[in-house]
Amino acid sequence: MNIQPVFFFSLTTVCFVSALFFLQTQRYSAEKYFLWAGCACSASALAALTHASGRMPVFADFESMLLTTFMLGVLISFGSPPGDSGTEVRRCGYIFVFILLSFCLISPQSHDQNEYLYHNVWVILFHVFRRISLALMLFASGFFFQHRKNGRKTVSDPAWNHLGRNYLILGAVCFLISEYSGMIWCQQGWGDFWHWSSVFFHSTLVLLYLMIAFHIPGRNENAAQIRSLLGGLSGVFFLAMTMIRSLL
Amino acid sequence: MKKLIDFLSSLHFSLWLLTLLIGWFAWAIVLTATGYFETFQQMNNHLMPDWLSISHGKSTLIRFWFFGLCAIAAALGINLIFCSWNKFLKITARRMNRPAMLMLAIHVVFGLVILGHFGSLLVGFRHANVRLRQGESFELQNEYRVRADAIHFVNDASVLTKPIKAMTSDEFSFESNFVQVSLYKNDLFLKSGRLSFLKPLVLDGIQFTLKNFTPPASAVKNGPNSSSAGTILFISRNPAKNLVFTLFPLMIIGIAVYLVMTWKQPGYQQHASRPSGGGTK
Repeated sequence: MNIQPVFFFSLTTVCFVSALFFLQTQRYSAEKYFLWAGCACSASALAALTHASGRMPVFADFESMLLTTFMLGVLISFGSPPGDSGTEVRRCGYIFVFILLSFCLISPQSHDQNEYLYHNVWVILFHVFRRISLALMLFASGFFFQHRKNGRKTVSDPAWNHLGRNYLILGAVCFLISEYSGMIWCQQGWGDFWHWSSVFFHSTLVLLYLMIAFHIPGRNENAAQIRSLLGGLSGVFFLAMTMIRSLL
Repeated sequence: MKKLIDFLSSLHFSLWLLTLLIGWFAWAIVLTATGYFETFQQMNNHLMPDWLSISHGKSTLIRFWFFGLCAIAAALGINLIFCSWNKFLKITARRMNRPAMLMLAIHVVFGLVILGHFGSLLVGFRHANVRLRQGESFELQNEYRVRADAIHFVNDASVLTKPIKAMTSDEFSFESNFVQVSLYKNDLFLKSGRLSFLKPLVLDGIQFTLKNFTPPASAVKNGPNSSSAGTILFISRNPAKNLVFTLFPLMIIGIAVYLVMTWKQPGYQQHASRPSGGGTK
Protein backbone atom coordinates (compact mmCIF):
# COMPACT_ATOMS: atom_id res chain seq x y z
CA MET A 1 0.00 0.00 0.00
CA ASN A 2 1.04 3.58 -0.66
CA ILE A 3 2.78 5.20 2.34
CA GLN A 4 0.69 8.41 2.30
CA PRO A 5 -2.66 6.84 3.26
CA VAL A 6 -0.95 4.85 6.02
CA PHE A 7 0.65 8.03 7.36
CA PHE A 8 -2.64 9.93 7.36
CA PHE A 9 -4.43 6.90 8.81
CA SER A 10 -2.00 6.88 11.76
CA LEU A 11 -2.48 10.61 12.26
CA THR A 12 -6.26 10.13 12.16
CA THR A 13 -6.00 7.57 14.94
CA VAL A 14 -3.80 9.84 17.07
CA CYS A 15 -6.15 12.80 16.60
CA PHE A 16 -9.29 10.89 17.58
CA VAL A 17 -7.55 9.32 20.59
CA SER A 18 -6.52 12.82 21.67
CA ALA A 19 -10.05 14.14 21.13
CA LEU A 20 -11.44 11.42 23.40
CA PHE A 21 -8.74 12.14 25.98
CA PHE A 22 -9.65 15.84 26.07
CA LEU A 23 -13.36 14.99 26.25
CA GLN A 24 -12.67 12.81 29.29
CA THR A 25 -10.63 15.59 30.91
CA GLN A 26 -13.37 18.11 30.04
CA ARG A 27 -11.11 20.32 27.94
CA TYR A 28 -13.63 20.84 25.20
CA SER A 29 -11.76 23.41 23.09
CA ALA A 30 -8.79 21.07 22.69
CA GLU A 31 -11.22 18.23 21.97
CA LYS A 32 -12.83 20.29 19.19
CA TYR A 33 -9.49 21.04 17.51
CA PHE A 34 -8.33 17.41 17.62
CA LEU A 35 -11.70 16.31 16.29
CA TRP A 36 -11.33 18.67 13.33
CA ALA A 37 -7.75 17.51 12.83
CA GLY A 38 -8.98 13.88 12.82
CA CYS A 39 -11.52 14.72 10.13
CA ALA A 40 -8.86 16.53 8.08
CA CYS A 41 -6.43 13.61 8.38
CA SER A 42 -9.03 11.01 7.40
CA ALA A 43 -10.03 13.22 4.44
CA SER A 44 -6.35 13.42 3.45
CA ALA A 45 -6.00 9.63 3.67
CA LEU A 46 -9.07 9.24 1.46
CA ALA A 47 -7.71 11.79 -1.02
CA ALA A 48 -4.40 9.91 -1.15
CA LEU A 49 -6.21 6.61 -1.74
CA THR A 50 -8.35 8.16 -4.49
CA HIS A 51 -5.29 9.68 -6.14
CA ALA A 52 -3.44 6.35 -6.05
CA SER A 53 -6.31 4.19 -7.35
CA GLY A 54 -8.12 6.65 -9.64
CA ARG A 55 -11.53 5.69 -8.30
CA MET A 56 -13.88 6.48 -5.41
CA PRO A 57 -12.63 5.11 -2.06
CA VAL A 58 -15.70 2.98 -1.39
CA PHE A 59 -14.93 -0.51 -2.72
CA ALA A 60 -12.38 -2.09 -0.40
CA ASP A 61 -13.09 -2.45 3.32
CA PHE A 62 -10.13 -0.32 4.40
CA GLU A 63 -11.13 2.71 2.38
CA SER A 64 -14.88 2.38 2.94
CA MET A 65 -14.43 2.16 6.71
CA LEU A 66 -12.12 5.15 6.57
CA LEU A 67 -14.82 7.01 4.63
CA THR A 68 -17.34 6.10 7.33
CA THR A 69 -14.87 7.34 9.96
CA PHE A 70 -14.57 10.67 8.14
CA MET A 71 -18.35 11.03 7.88
CA LEU A 72 -18.85 10.14 11.52
CA GLY A 73 -16.17 12.66 12.48
CA VAL A 74 -17.96 15.36 10.49
CA LEU A 75 -21.27 14.45 12.14
CA ILE A 76 -19.71 14.64 15.60
CA SER A 77 -18.17 18.00 14.70
CA PHE A 78 -21.29 19.66 13.37
CA GLY A 79 -24.24 17.68 14.73
CA SER A 80 -23.38 16.79 18.30
CA PRO A 81 -24.35 18.87 21.35
CA PRO A 82 -21.79 21.46 22.41
CA GLY A 83 -19.54 21.60 25.49
CA ASP A 84 -20.52 19.53 28.50
CA SER A 85 -23.99 18.89 27.13
CA GLY A 86 -24.47 15.45 25.65
CA THR A 87 -20.91 14.23 26.19
CA GLU A 88 -22.14 10.66 25.83
CA VAL A 89 -23.06 11.39 22.19
CA ARG A 90 -19.47 12.37 21.41
CA ARG A 91 -17.96 9.64 23.57
CA CYS A 92 -20.01 7.00 21.73
CA GLY A 93 -18.99 8.60 18.44
CA TYR A 94 -15.29 8.30 19.31
CA ILE A 95 -15.70 4.69 20.42
CA PHE A 96 -17.34 3.87 17.09
CA VAL A 97 -14.53 5.70 15.30
CA PHE A 98 -12.01 3.43 17.06
CA ILE A 99 -13.99 0.33 16.12
CA LEU A 100 -14.04 1.51 12.49
CA LEU A 101 -10.33 2.27 12.53
CA SER A 102 -9.59 -1.13 14.11
CA PHE A 103 -11.66 -2.80 11.41
CA CYS A 104 -9.61 -0.92 8.80
CA LEU A 105 -6.54 -2.70 10.17
CA ILE A 106 -7.95 -6.23 10.26
CA SER A 107 -10.02 -6.10 7.06
CA PRO A 108 -8.79 -7.82 3.90
CA GLN A 109 -6.64 -5.42 1.87
CA SER A 110 -7.48 -6.70 -1.62
CA HIS A 111 -10.15 -5.12 -3.80
CA ASP A 112 -12.60 -7.92 -4.46
CA GLN A 113 -14.84 -6.04 -6.90
CA ASN A 114 -14.75 -6.31 -10.67
CA GLU A 115 -12.87 -3.42 -12.22
CA TYR A 116 -15.69 -2.53 -14.58
CA LEU A 117 -17.82 -1.60 -11.57
CA TYR A 118 -15.50 1.15 -10.36
CA HIS A 119 -16.94 3.86 -12.58
CA ASN A 120 -20.60 2.89 -12.70
CA VAL A 121 -22.69 5.60 -11.08
CA TRP A 122 -25.22 3.21 -9.48
CA VAL A 123 -22.50 1.03 -7.99
CA ILE A 124 -20.79 4.11 -6.55
CA LEU A 125 -24.07 5.49 -5.18
CA PHE A 126 -24.84 2.11 -3.63
CA HIS A 127 -21.54 2.07 -1.72
CA VAL A 128 -21.45 5.77 -0.82
CA PHE A 129 -24.98 5.86 0.60
CA ARG A 130 -24.33 2.68 2.56
CA ARG A 131 -21.37 4.38 4.24
CA ILE A 132 -23.36 7.57 4.89
CA SER A 133 -26.14 5.45 6.33
CA LEU A 134 -23.74 3.56 8.61
CA ALA A 135 -22.20 6.83 9.84
CA LEU A 136 -25.66 8.30 10.56
CA MET A 137 -26.86 5.21 12.40
CA LEU A 138 -23.71 5.12 14.53
CA PHE A 139 -24.13 8.82 15.27
CA ALA A 140 -27.79 8.27 16.19
CA SER A 141 -26.72 5.55 18.63
CA GLY A 142 -24.90 8.20 20.69
CA PHE A 143 -28.14 10.14 21.29
CA PHE A 144 -29.97 7.00 22.37
CA PHE A 145 -27.18 6.07 24.75
CA GLN A 146 -27.24 9.64 26.14
CA HIS A 147 -30.96 9.17 26.78
CA ARG A 148 -30.28 5.92 28.62
CA LYS A 149 -27.49 7.44 30.67
CA ASN A 150 -29.68 10.37 31.74
CA GLY A 151 -32.48 7.96 32.56
CA ARG A 152 -30.43 6.32 35.27
CA LYS A 153 -30.07 9.57 37.22
CA THR A 154 -33.41 11.21 36.75
CA VAL A 155 -36.41 11.20 34.45
CA SER A 156 -34.78 10.86 31.05
CA ASP A 157 -34.88 13.73 28.63
CA PRO A 158 -37.10 12.81 25.65
CA ALA A 159 -35.28 15.25 23.36
CA TRP A 160 -32.25 12.95 23.22
CA ASN A 161 -34.43 10.08 22.09
CA HIS A 162 -36.08 12.29 19.50
CA LEU A 163 -32.77 13.54 18.09
CA GLY A 164 -31.54 9.95 17.92
CA ARG A 165 -34.74 8.98 16.14
CA ASN A 166 -34.22 11.85 13.64
CA TYR A 167 -30.70 10.73 12.73
CA LEU A 168 -31.81 7.10 12.64
CA ILE A 169 -34.58 7.91 10.15
CA LEU A 170 -32.09 9.94 8.10
CA GLY A 171 -29.80 6.89 8.16
CA ALA A 172 -32.71 4.71 7.06
CA VAL A 173 -33.45 7.10 4.16
CA CYS A 174 -29.81 6.86 3.04
CA PHE A 175 -29.92 3.09 3.43
CA LEU A 176 -33.01 2.96 1.19
CA ILE A 177 -31.32 5.20 -1.41
CA SER A 178 -28.43 2.75 -1.33
CA GLU A 179 -30.87 -0.15 -1.76
CA TYR A 180 -32.53 1.59 -4.71
CA SER A 181 -29.16 2.16 -6.37
CA GLY A 182 -28.38 -1.50 -5.70
CA MET A 183 -31.64 -2.53 -7.36
CA ILE A 184 -30.72 -0.62 -10.51
CA TRP A 185 -27.21 -2.14 -10.40
CA CYS A 186 -28.72 -5.62 -10.03
CA GLN A 187 -31.18 -4.96 -12.87
CA GLN A 188 -28.38 -3.83 -15.19
CA GLY A 189 -25.88 -6.49 -14.17
CA TRP A 190 -28.00 -9.60 -13.57
CA GLY A 191 -31.26 -8.88 -15.36
CA ASP A 192 -33.47 -8.66 -12.28
CA PHE A 193 -33.83 -6.02 -9.55
CA TRP A 194 -33.29 -8.41 -6.67
CA HIS A 195 -31.69 -11.78 -6.10
CA TRP A 196 -31.77 -14.39 -3.39
CA SER A 197 -28.24 -14.12 -2.04
CA SER A 198 -26.39 -13.57 1.21
CA VAL A 199 -26.00 -9.88 0.24
CA PHE A 200 -29.77 -9.54 -0.05
CA PHE A 201 -30.33 -11.39 3.22
CA HIS A 202 -27.85 -9.18 5.09
CA SER A 203 -29.45 -6.00 3.72
CA THR A 204 -32.92 -7.25 4.60
CA LEU A 205 -31.81 -7.99 8.16
CA VAL A 206 -30.66 -4.38 8.58
CA LEU A 207 -33.94 -3.13 7.13
CA LEU A 208 -35.99 -5.40 9.39
CA TYR A 209 -34.00 -4.29 12.42
CA LEU A 210 -34.76 -0.66 11.57
CA MET A 211 -38.44 -1.51 11.15
CA ILE A 212 -38.46 -3.07 14.62
CA ALA A 213 -36.69 -0.03 16.09
CA PHE A 214 -39.36 2.25 14.58
CA HIS A 215 -42.35 0.13 15.65
CA ILE A 216 -41.96 -0.15 19.43
CA PRO A 217 -45.44 0.42 20.88
CA GLY A 218 -46.25 2.53 23.91
CA ARG A 219 -45.65 6.08 25.12
CA ASN A 220 -44.47 5.44 28.66
CA GLU A 221 -40.93 5.53 30.06
CA ASN A 222 -40.43 1.77 29.65
CA ALA A 223 -41.28 1.96 25.95
CA ALA A 224 -38.92 4.93 25.59
CA GLN A 225 -36.14 2.91 27.23
CA ILE A 226 -36.70 -0.07 24.92
CA ARG A 227 -36.82 2.31 21.96
CA SER A 228 -33.56 3.91 23.02
CA LEU A 229 -31.92 0.51 23.53
CA LEU A 230 -32.93 -0.77 20.09
CA GLY A 231 -32.16 2.58 18.48
CA GLY A 232 -28.79 2.69 20.19
CA LEU A 233 -27.92 -0.76 18.96
CA SER A 234 -29.04 -0.11 15.36
CA GLY A 235 -25.67 1.33 14.33
CA VAL A 236 -23.93 -1.51 16.14
CA PHE A 237 -26.13 -4.03 14.35
CA PHE A 238 -25.43 -2.51 10.92
CA LEU A 239 -21.70 -2.35 11.68
CA ALA A 240 -21.71 -5.98 12.86
CA MET A 241 -23.52 -7.04 9.66
CA THR A 242 -20.96 -5.15 7.56
CA MET A 243 -18.08 -6.79 9.42
CA ILE A 244 -19.55 -10.29 9.24
CA ARG A 245 -20.17 -9.96 5.51
CA SER A 246 -16.68 -8.71 4.96
CA LEU A 247 -14.86 -11.27 7.07
CA LEU A 248 -16.83 -14.37 6.05
CA MET B 1 -64.06 -10.51 17.18
CA LYS B 2 -63.05 -7.00 18.18
CA LYS B 3 -60.21 -8.43 20.24
CA LEU B 4 -58.96 -10.37 17.24
CA ILE B 5 -59.11 -7.30 15.00
CA ASP B 6 -57.33 -5.24 17.64
CA PHE B 7 -54.60 -7.85 17.84
CA LEU B 8 -54.26 -8.13 14.05
CA SER B 9 -53.89 -4.38 13.77
CA SER B 10 -51.57 -4.00 16.77
CA LEU B 11 -47.94 -2.97 16.81
CA HIS B 12 -47.30 -5.96 19.09
CA PHE B 13 -48.34 -8.28 16.25
CA SER B 14 -46.07 -6.32 13.85
CA LEU B 15 -43.19 -6.70 16.29
CA TRP B 16 -43.65 -10.44 16.64
CA LEU B 17 -43.75 -10.86 12.87
CA LEU B 18 -40.73 -8.63 12.25
CA THR B 19 -38.76 -10.51 14.91
CA LEU B 20 -39.76 -13.79 13.28
CA LEU B 21 -38.68 -12.42 9.90
CA ILE B 22 -35.28 -11.48 11.33
CA GLY B 23 -34.86 -15.06 12.52
CA TRP B 24 -36.03 -16.34 9.14
CA PHE B 25 -33.52 -14.27 7.17
CA ALA B 26 -30.73 -15.06 9.64
CA TRP B 27 -31.51 -18.72 8.99
CA ALA B 28 -31.23 -18.03 5.24
CA ILE B 29 -27.74 -16.59 5.78
CA VAL B 30 -26.77 -19.77 7.63
CA LEU B 31 -28.25 -21.85 4.80
CA THR B 32 -26.28 -19.98 2.11
CA ALA B 33 -23.10 -20.57 4.11
CA THR B 34 -23.80 -24.27 4.64
CA GLY B 35 -24.21 -25.69 1.17
CA TYR B 36 -27.51 -24.20 -0.01
CA PHE B 37 -25.99 -21.33 -1.99
CA GLU B 38 -26.54 -23.15 -5.30
CA THR B 39 -30.18 -23.85 -4.46
CA PHE B 40 -30.81 -20.15 -3.89
CA GLN B 41 -29.02 -19.47 -7.18
CA GLN B 42 -31.45 -21.83 -8.92
CA MET B 43 -34.33 -19.81 -7.46
CA ASN B 44 -32.85 -16.73 -9.14
CA ASN B 45 -32.72 -18.48 -12.48
CA HIS B 46 -36.42 -19.41 -12.61
CA LEU B 47 -39.79 -17.92 -11.84
CA MET B 48 -41.17 -19.46 -8.68
CA PRO B 49 -43.76 -21.78 -10.32
CA ASP B 50 -41.03 -23.18 -12.61
CA TRP B 51 -38.59 -23.59 -9.74
CA LEU B 52 -41.18 -25.38 -7.61
CA SER B 53 -41.91 -27.79 -10.46
CA ILE B 54 -38.28 -28.66 -11.18
CA SER B 55 -36.68 -28.53 -7.73
CA HIS B 56 -36.02 -31.78 -5.90
CA GLY B 57 -33.94 -33.32 -3.13
CA LYS B 58 -31.79 -30.70 -1.44
CA SER B 59 -34.30 -27.95 -2.20
CA THR B 60 -36.93 -29.36 0.19
CA LEU B 61 -35.55 -27.32 3.07
CA ILE B 62 -35.39 -24.19 0.91
CA ARG B 63 -39.00 -24.83 -0.17
CA PHE B 64 -39.97 -24.93 3.50
CA TRP B 65 -38.01 -21.75 4.09
CA PHE B 66 -39.69 -20.03 1.14
CA PHE B 67 -43.22 -21.05 2.12
CA GLY B 68 -42.50 -19.95 5.69
CA LEU B 69 -41.37 -16.58 4.35
CA CYS B 70 -44.56 -16.27 2.30
CA ALA B 71 -46.68 -17.11 5.38
CA ILE B 72 -44.95 -14.50 7.55
CA ALA B 73 -45.13 -11.91 4.77
CA ALA B 74 -48.85 -12.63 4.31
CA ALA B 75 -49.43 -12.18 8.06
CA LEU B 76 -47.49 -8.90 7.92
CA GLY B 77 -49.68 -7.86 4.97
CA ILE B 78 -52.82 -8.58 7.01
CA ASN B 79 -51.35 -6.60 9.89
CA LEU B 80 -50.60 -3.70 7.52
CA ILE B 81 -54.12 -3.68 6.12
CA PHE B 82 -55.82 -3.86 9.51
CA CYS B 83 -53.45 -1.34 11.03
CA SER B 84 -54.00 1.09 8.16
CA TRP B 85 -57.74 0.71 8.28
CA ASN B 86 -58.27 0.50 12.01
CA LYS B 87 -55.86 3.14 13.20
CA PHE B 88 -54.52 5.47 10.55
CA LEU B 89 -57.80 6.12 8.76
CA LYS B 90 -59.61 6.82 12.04
CA ILE B 91 -56.89 9.16 13.22
CA THR B 92 -56.65 11.05 9.97
CA ALA B 93 -60.43 11.31 9.55
CA ARG B 94 -60.75 12.81 13.01
CA ARG B 95 -57.75 15.11 13.18
CA MET B 96 -56.51 15.46 9.62
CA ASN B 97 -53.03 15.02 11.06
CA ARG B 98 -50.67 15.53 8.10
CA PRO B 99 -47.73 13.43 9.34
CA ALA B 100 -50.13 10.58 10.16
CA MET B 101 -51.68 10.79 6.68
CA LEU B 102 -48.24 10.76 5.13
CA MET B 103 -47.29 7.77 7.26
CA LEU B 104 -50.40 5.97 6.03
CA ALA B 105 -49.37 6.68 2.43
CA ILE B 106 -45.81 5.44 3.12
CA HIS B 107 -47.16 2.18 4.57
CA VAL B 108 -49.47 1.64 1.59
CA VAL B 109 -46.60 2.28 -0.85
CA PHE B 110 -44.37 -0.07 1.17
CA GLY B 111 -47.04 -2.79 0.89
CA LEU B 112 -47.20 -2.28 -2.88
CA VAL B 113 -43.39 -2.44 -3.17
CA ILE B 114 -43.37 -5.78 -1.33
CA LEU B 115 -46.20 -6.98 -3.58
CA GLY B 116 -44.07 -5.95 -6.57
CA HIS B 117 -41.18 -8.03 -5.23
CA PHE B 118 -43.42 -11.08 -4.90
CA GLY B 119 -45.00 -10.33 -8.27
CA SER B 120 -41.58 -10.44 -9.89
CA LEU B 121 -41.35 -14.09 -8.78
CA LEU B 122 -44.56 -14.97 -10.60
CA VAL B 123 -45.06 -12.94 -13.76
CA GLY B 124 -43.08 -12.60 -16.99
CA PHE B 125 -40.31 -15.03 -17.85
CA ARG B 126 -36.63 -15.70 -17.22
CA HIS B 127 -33.99 -17.56 -19.20
CA ALA B 128 -30.75 -17.73 -17.29
CA ASN B 129 -27.38 -18.67 -18.78
CA VAL B 130 -28.42 -18.60 -22.43
CA ARG B 131 -25.21 -19.57 -24.26
CA LEU B 132 -24.96 -18.27 -27.80
CA ARG B 133 -22.25 -18.16 -30.44
CA GLN B 134 -22.26 -15.79 -33.37
CA GLY B 135 -25.19 -16.57 -35.68
CA GLU B 136 -27.01 -18.79 -33.18
CA SER B 137 -30.61 -18.21 -32.07
CA PHE B 138 -32.68 -18.90 -28.98
CA GLU B 139 -36.46 -19.38 -28.91
CA LEU B 140 -38.40 -17.35 -26.33
CA GLN B 141 -42.06 -17.30 -25.23
CA ASN B 142 -44.81 -15.90 -27.47
CA GLU B 143 -43.02 -16.78 -30.75
CA TYR B 144 -40.14 -14.46 -29.95
CA ARG B 145 -36.64 -15.45 -31.05
CA VAL B 146 -33.31 -13.79 -30.35
CA ARG B 147 -30.27 -14.11 -32.59
CA ALA B 148 -26.67 -13.24 -31.74
CA ASP B 149 -25.69 -11.27 -34.88
CA ALA B 150 -22.18 -10.41 -33.73
CA ILE B 151 -20.00 -11.03 -30.72
CA HIS B 152 -17.49 -8.25 -30.74
CA PHE B 153 -14.52 -9.28 -28.62
CA VAL B 154 -11.38 -7.20 -29.08
CA ASN B 155 -9.04 -8.74 -26.48
CA ASP B 156 -7.02 -11.93 -26.39
CA ALA B 157 -9.75 -14.56 -25.97
CA SER B 158 -7.55 -16.74 -23.77
CA VAL B 159 -8.33 -14.32 -20.91
CA LEU B 160 -11.87 -15.74 -20.89
CA THR B 161 -10.65 -18.90 -19.17
CA LYS B 162 -10.15 -16.73 -16.06
CA PRO B 163 -12.97 -15.80 -13.69
CA ILE B 164 -14.35 -12.33 -14.45
CA LYS B 165 -13.23 -10.98 -11.07
CA ALA B 166 -9.63 -11.84 -11.90
CA MET B 167 -9.65 -9.86 -15.16
CA THR B 168 -8.02 -6.44 -15.21
CA SER B 169 -8.98 -3.58 -17.51
CA ASP B 170 -5.64 -4.06 -19.31
CA GLU B 171 -6.50 -7.57 -20.44
CA PHE B 172 -10.27 -7.15 -20.78
CA SER B 173 -11.83 -4.00 -22.22
CA PHE B 174 -15.18 -3.69 -20.48
CA GLU B 175 -16.23 -0.85 -22.79
CA SER B 176 -15.21 -2.21 -26.21
CA ASN B 177 -16.52 -5.77 -25.93
CA PHE B 178 -20.18 -6.12 -26.77
CA VAL B 179 -22.81 -8.38 -28.29
CA GLN B 180 -25.16 -7.39 -31.13
CA VAL B 181 -28.53 -9.16 -31.02
CA SER B 182 -31.71 -9.09 -33.08
CA LEU B 183 -35.21 -9.87 -31.92
CA TYR B 184 -37.71 -11.66 -34.15
CA LYS B 185 -41.38 -12.49 -33.73
CA ASN B 186 -42.89 -15.21 -35.91
CA ASP B 187 -39.60 -15.03 -37.84
CA LEU B 188 -40.22 -11.37 -38.67
CA PHE B 189 -37.41 -9.02 -37.71
CA LEU B 190 -38.46 -6.54 -35.01
CA LYS B 191 -35.45 -4.72 -33.60
CA SER B 192 -31.76 -5.07 -32.94
CA GLY B 193 -29.23 -3.51 -30.61
CA ARG B 194 -26.03 -4.04 -28.68
CA LEU B 195 -25.38 -4.90 -25.06
CA SER B 196 -22.29 -4.84 -22.91
CA PHE B 197 -21.49 -5.21 -19.21
CA LEU B 198 -23.94 -3.18 -17.08
CA LYS B 199 -25.55 -1.88 -20.26
CA PRO B 200 -28.43 -4.25 -20.95
CA LEU B 201 -30.66 -4.00 -23.99
CA VAL B 202 -34.44 -3.80 -23.75
CA LEU B 203 -36.40 -4.75 -26.86
CA ASP B 204 -40.20 -5.05 -26.77
CA GLY B 205 -40.13 -5.17 -22.95
CA ILE B 206 -37.64 -8.05 -22.98
CA GLN B 207 -34.33 -7.35 -21.27
CA PHE B 208 -31.12 -8.91 -22.59
CA THR B 209 -28.34 -8.78 -20.03
CA LEU B 210 -24.74 -9.71 -20.78
CA LYS B 211 -23.50 -12.03 -18.04
CA ASN B 212 -20.19 -13.05 -19.59
CA PHE B 213 -18.28 -14.06 -22.70
CA THR B 214 -17.24 -17.67 -23.24
CA PRO B 215 -13.86 -18.70 -24.63
CA PRO B 216 -13.53 -19.99 -28.19
CA ALA B 217 -13.01 -23.70 -28.84
CA SER B 218 -9.28 -23.22 -29.27
CA ALA B 219 -9.01 -22.05 -25.66
CA VAL B 220 -11.04 -24.88 -24.10
CA LYS B 221 -10.51 -28.63 -24.41
CA ASN B 222 -13.54 -30.38 -25.93
CA GLY B 223 -15.18 -26.96 -26.35
CA PRO B 224 -17.71 -26.10 -29.04
CA ASN B 225 -16.57 -25.99 -32.62
CA SER B 226 -15.92 -22.27 -32.93
CA SER B 227 -12.90 -20.05 -33.26
CA SER B 228 -14.50 -16.90 -31.85
CA ALA B 229 -15.77 -15.99 -28.38
CA GLY B 230 -19.31 -16.84 -27.36
CA THR B 231 -21.63 -15.16 -24.90
CA ILE B 232 -23.86 -15.92 -21.91
CA LEU B 233 -27.06 -13.89 -21.67
CA PHE B 234 -29.79 -13.53 -19.07
CA ILE B 235 -33.05 -12.91 -20.89
CA SER B 236 -36.02 -11.75 -18.86
CA ARG B 237 -39.34 -9.99 -18.94
CA ASN B 238 -40.50 -8.63 -15.61
CA PRO B 239 -43.67 -6.51 -15.76
CA ALA B 240 -43.54 -5.97 -11.97
CA LYS B 241 -40.26 -4.06 -12.09
CA ASN B 242 -41.82 -0.81 -13.33
CA LEU B 243 -44.16 -0.75 -10.34
CA VAL B 244 -41.27 -1.24 -7.91
CA PHE B 245 -38.90 1.18 -9.64
CA THR B 246 -41.62 3.86 -9.55
CA LEU B 247 -42.91 3.34 -6.02
CA PHE B 248 -39.61 2.75 -4.23
CA PRO B 249 -38.31 6.32 -4.71
CA LEU B 250 -41.75 7.66 -3.77
CA MET B 251 -41.48 5.74 -0.50
CA ILE B 252 -38.03 7.21 0.15
CA ILE B 253 -39.24 10.74 -0.60
CA GLY B 254 -42.26 10.15 1.65
CA ILE B 255 -40.07 9.10 4.58
CA ALA B 256 -37.76 12.08 4.00
CA VAL B 257 -40.71 14.49 3.97
CA TYR B 258 -42.11 12.83 7.10
CA LEU B 259 -38.75 13.34 8.79
CA VAL B 260 -38.72 17.03 7.90
CA MET B 261 -42.32 17.43 9.17
CA THR B 262 -41.54 15.77 12.49
CA TRP B 263 -37.91 16.90 13.02
CA LYS B 264 -38.90 19.13 15.93
CA GLN B 265 -40.40 17.26 18.82
CA PRO B 266 -43.94 18.50 19.53
CA GLY B 267 -44.22 20.28 22.88
CA TYR B 268 -40.52 20.32 23.57
CA GLN B 269 -39.54 23.78 22.37
CA GLN B 270 -38.86 25.05 25.88
CA HIS B 271 -35.98 22.59 26.32
CA ALA B 272 -34.78 22.57 22.74
CA SER B 273 -31.74 24.73 23.37
CA ARG B 274 -29.97 22.19 25.54
CA PRO B 275 -29.52 19.20 23.30
CA SER B 276 -29.45 21.06 19.98
CA GLY B 277 -26.62 20.71 17.47
CA GLY B 278 -24.14 23.38 16.45
CA GLY B 279 -20.70 21.95 16.98
CA THR B 280 -18.53 21.34 20.00
CA LYS B 281 -17.30 24.26 22.05
